[in-house]
Amino acid sequence: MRLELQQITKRFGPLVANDAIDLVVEEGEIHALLGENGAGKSTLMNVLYGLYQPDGGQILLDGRPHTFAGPGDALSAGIGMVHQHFMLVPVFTVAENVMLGHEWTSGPLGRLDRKTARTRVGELSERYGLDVDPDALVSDLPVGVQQRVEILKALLGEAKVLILDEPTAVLTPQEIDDLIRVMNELRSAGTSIVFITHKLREVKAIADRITVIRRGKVVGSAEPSASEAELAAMMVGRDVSLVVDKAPARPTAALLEVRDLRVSDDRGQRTVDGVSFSVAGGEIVALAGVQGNGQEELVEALLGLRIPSAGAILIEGTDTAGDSVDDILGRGVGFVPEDRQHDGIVGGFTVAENLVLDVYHTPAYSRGLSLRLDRIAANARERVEEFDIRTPSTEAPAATLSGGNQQKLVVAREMSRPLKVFVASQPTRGVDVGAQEFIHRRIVTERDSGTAVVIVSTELDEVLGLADRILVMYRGKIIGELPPGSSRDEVGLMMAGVPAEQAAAEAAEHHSALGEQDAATEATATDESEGSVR
Amino acid sequence: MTTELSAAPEAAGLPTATPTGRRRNRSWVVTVLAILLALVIGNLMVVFSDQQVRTDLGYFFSSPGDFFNDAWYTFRDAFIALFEGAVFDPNHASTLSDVFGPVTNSIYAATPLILAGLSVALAFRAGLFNIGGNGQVIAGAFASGYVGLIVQLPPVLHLILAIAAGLAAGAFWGFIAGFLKARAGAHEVITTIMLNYVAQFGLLYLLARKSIVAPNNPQASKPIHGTARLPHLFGSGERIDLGILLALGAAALVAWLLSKSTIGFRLRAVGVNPAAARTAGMSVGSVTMLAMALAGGLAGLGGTAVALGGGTSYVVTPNIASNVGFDAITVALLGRSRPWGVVAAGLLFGALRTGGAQMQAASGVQAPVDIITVVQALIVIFIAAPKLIEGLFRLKRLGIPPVATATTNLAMAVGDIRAARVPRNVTAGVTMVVVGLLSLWRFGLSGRAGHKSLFEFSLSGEKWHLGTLGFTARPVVLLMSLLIVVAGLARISQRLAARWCATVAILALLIAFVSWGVAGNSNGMNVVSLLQGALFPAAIPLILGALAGVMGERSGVVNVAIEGQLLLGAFTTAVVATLTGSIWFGALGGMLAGLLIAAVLAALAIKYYVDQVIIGVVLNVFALGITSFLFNKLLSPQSETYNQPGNFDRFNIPGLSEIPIVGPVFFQGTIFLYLTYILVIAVHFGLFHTRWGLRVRSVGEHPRAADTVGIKVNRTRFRTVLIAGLIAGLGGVSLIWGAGSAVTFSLNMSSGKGFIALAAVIFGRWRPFGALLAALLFGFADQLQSLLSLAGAPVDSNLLLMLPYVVTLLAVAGFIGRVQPPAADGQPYVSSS
Repeated sequence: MRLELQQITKRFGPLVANDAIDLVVEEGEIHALLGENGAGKSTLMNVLYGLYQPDGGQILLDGRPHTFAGPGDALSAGIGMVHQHFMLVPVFTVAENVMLGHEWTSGPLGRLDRKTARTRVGELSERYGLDVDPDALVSDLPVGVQQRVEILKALLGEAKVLILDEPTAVLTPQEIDDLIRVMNELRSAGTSIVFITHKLREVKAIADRITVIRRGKVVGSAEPSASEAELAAMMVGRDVSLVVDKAPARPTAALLEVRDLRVSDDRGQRTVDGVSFSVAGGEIVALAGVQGNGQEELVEALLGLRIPSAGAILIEGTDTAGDSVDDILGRGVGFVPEDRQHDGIVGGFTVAENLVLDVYHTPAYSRGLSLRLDRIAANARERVEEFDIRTPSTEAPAATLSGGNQQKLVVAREMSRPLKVFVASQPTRGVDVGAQEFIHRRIVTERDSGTAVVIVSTELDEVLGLADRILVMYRGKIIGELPPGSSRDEVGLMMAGVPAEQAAAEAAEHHSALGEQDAATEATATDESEGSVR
Repeated sequence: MTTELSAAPEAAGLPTATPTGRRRNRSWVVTVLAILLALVIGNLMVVFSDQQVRTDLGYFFSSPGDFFNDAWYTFRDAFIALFEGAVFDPNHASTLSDVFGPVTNSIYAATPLILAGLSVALAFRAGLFNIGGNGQVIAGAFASGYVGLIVQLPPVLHLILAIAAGLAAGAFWGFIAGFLKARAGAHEVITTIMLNYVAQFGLLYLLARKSIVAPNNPQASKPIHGTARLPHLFGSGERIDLGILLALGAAALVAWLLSKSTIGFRLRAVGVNPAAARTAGMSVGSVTMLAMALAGGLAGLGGTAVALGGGTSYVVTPNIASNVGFDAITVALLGRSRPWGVVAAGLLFGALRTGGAQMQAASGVQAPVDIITVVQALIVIFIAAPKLIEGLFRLKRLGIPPVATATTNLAMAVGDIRAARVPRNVTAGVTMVVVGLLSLWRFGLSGRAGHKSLFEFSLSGEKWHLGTLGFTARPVVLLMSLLIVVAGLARISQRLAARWCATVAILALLIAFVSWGVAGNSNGMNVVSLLQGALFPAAIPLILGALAGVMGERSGVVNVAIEGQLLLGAFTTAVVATLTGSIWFGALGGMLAGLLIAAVLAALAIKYYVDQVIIGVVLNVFALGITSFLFNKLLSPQSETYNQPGNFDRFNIPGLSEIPIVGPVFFQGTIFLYLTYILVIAVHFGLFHTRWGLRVRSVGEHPRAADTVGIKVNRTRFRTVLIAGLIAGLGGVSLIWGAGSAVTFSLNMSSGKGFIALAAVIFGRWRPFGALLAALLFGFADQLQSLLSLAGAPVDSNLLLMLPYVVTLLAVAGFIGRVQPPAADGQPYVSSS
């Protein structure tokens, strides 16, 4: 089915998320929608899927205009969507999830026909090589499999146009290869695919055509042969350096030492399984790994948010395992959490209040039980200035700030006190490029002042750009250490669980789909003009 | 303050930039309009319940002037009486005391409301919903009263000690709920409701003690000594006393605490975003415990003000809390959880109460004071849903957010706690072992256990007679006690699933307890009548209410208004059946009353995003107010005209009803018993085996996922809540006819059954059959109590009545396995567009 979006406009109050966007996706085409986080890609797709009502423009399917009052309309018109955050009910089985919304029933009472559901799921998963057990509870499945369930859902709805919203964010490089294979099969079956991403390499590996969106507008389209630098420039609107400027690290003594740490998650599964490493002052250690390999629990244990079941966490030689968060912060640990809206700021509090969220009870800001409101206000003025936090006033609720400024607020708070150890989880996720550069620069500055820095990131670019040493986490263990400047394929393979030596060997032998792009880019790096950008 | 950010746009991820100052100014408009509108509606109710006005209506078309004339005079007189009673009465202005009498009386009436309102407000700001005001007021009132009547001390010291005792007792009672939330993840909405009942029965138990009870009146304590009474401010002529200064001081303290202290900073941070607070090094658990203790202390002081201020004539009575804890919720909401707002709201409601008393007495009005409860509920409904006011008055969009308070996500409470240092299986198992040993010592080794226990298994006049079972109590009791210990050990070592350990322990305890209880009684205990009474009639309203609760929560809507649905259902049934002379119309009316409350709940919760627990509580207040008002005004004086609902016959199912034990228990009842069976099966089948059920559950677990596959989330929820409303209404009907004998409507007839139903929902793990079993268990405890007291067992009946609530507390605290509510339970769904 041929999909055409004409002049789609969507506003949220004063914010124009989509500004007269045109997009054409031909039948049997994989069309990449490339743009930074917050560029308006997901909004556009939610309009297409009937979740948002557009303020202007129209949607054409095979030349006929359609309006979608809700996802139900979009579904029946043949549009399917795999959401970035999976839309699966965790306590339902795969079959129940897949049939939800168009259930097979028998009898006048609408009794669920679970048998038919099971067979249909079986058939489809066989046809497209999507291996799933129809009776498994979704909450028991790994993310890669959950994604397959999402794709099955869309296929069972007989989708002619399939939207994949950031499908690779949670996958290992090898799972990504699997996904690419499935996408190719769907393409040859005639399905049109809209592939949303902000990762340049994936776009080049999969897409037939590329449309780039920036700040709610289409800024151009390109062929997959375009060079990464060109695509990046279109995406961000100016030439960006993908590398972080920094001098070589000068490590001092170990400030943070983790010894044989074991941590369990909420369900009692041991997700950190005997991890040991140390970080010296003045160096940045990156913990690389696909989401859900224990990084989250490891960081929570470092901060005292989760009590480890065994092992030691030494900060300047003192074991802090099992101490309270307050005690650990008091030892000079700074922390930027992964999900800032959830863990980093109190949305209803003012910027000023948020800037003292973890120091409000120190003598600097309080006397006995009484808060020193004047000091809190003065501190806010200084930090807002120093960290360039764009806010109408220090008394504005932090929830009204943009994502990048919220993140700067968190970083400002954590760096405004003397630190020994600085731990940052996904420090630039969902942050605009300007804020990203600023935050990276501050992290390097913090390192140079002698702090031990731990960065947890699933973004290879960030890991490769920032780290002085790279530790790869897989299934709760650190399976190897790599020096800075290691190859993308090597890190990627290790993230998929391949031991270090083998990874090095395999990476040299045959590249992954994305690694091939690397090799190709390297080969053509001398001749940049080959990429055509219109 | 900044906590008043609208929940709705935030959830949709939209920017919420509205200047705070302007919004606050405009919220005054809504507040004033809400109060006026509620007063007018309340007054119209007075007008239309007036005998003369309704007589005029009878010949409205021949002489409309009479109607308008009388209606206007009643309307005017009601307002005048209200004003004269609450503020100033020109007819009684001869002495200074007369002039200021009404105002000072209003202030006096406001004192406990302010204190308890501050309690609710403080908890709100910490993200907690304190429905336990009543329990805390009882604790405070009793402790103050106890110190006041037992101890002999010099004047000032005695008063200080009595006040401190009330503060401490209230704080302790609040702390329990905080502790259970912080350490076991039990949601405070459930625990505080349970603690209210524990406190109520505890009070009854204590009031029966020889050292406390008045020698000549079993319904009151001995009088509180003069040294412990709150001194009057302007001489004994005016009721106003030191209590109001206590309340104002508390308000000032809370105001300082919230905005200028480190404690308040913590409290508010945890209230708005517990995850971020925790990441910033605050201990969410300690803050929760502290907040609940502070809130409990404030409510306890409210009780102190009643007990030591002569609210109940300087004695402690069983009804000393009246409904202060729930009124306090309306006070806190009207005051928008700001300390001085609470003071203003408390004064307003205090004035309405005092004026309402005058209305009741005024000739030509004679409106029972309960109308004020209705007005109170209406005010809060209008405040809570500002869009309603905007619409009614055709105001331009004011952009006032709904009252933002604790977001009630029942699921979060269970998930978001730090892993306990002592594993659950150890605490639960040790508790069981201790209970087993206690039972061994208290029951097994007592002299009573040496006697014979007799059990009968047939009712007199049954076809087959099974005879009796007799045995010496001791060996059985000892064996059962050991079984409890074994179950506890199995729980510690995790040899057996938590649920089975609990079941074994509970059953063993029951057998041990009953064997001991009836030992030595020559008549023995009739097992069939025990079981029969447990199911029927005691449990039917519970089962139907719980079914409604299960349906609502499965779809993501928490229904705290079951109590109101039962009450209004019973009321409507009685009135409609009497007026139409048809029991079937009566039943239909009762169901429609349940539907009506469900519709209001659904509209406000789903359409206007009002917090579901708030609206549920307010609807309960409304149902209680309107039924009490009409009962006192119409049903009580003219019971032949309004309150003779007739009779539904029992219907014994042929054959089945003659089976021994089973027959009389399950197959001898009214149509409501059999309807209940059908409904339980139907709801179970519907929820777990049909398309409808799959959709309802998906909407309760992951509404967005349901939306993306084309399921209309809010429509599904709306319909489910409405169907549940009919079932809850049927529960109300069965309050009247469930027993199979003629019952008339009586004041507050549901008497907390709706809240027990809520407990049954949780205890039954959000499943129809689970809820059924839980409701039976509660009915059983109720029945056991009356039978044991007949058998002359040496157990205070109040302690037995307390038992279901204690068991529910243990259940939500995770002693009986983990309870996991639907993931989106209580959360409004904002479809983004």
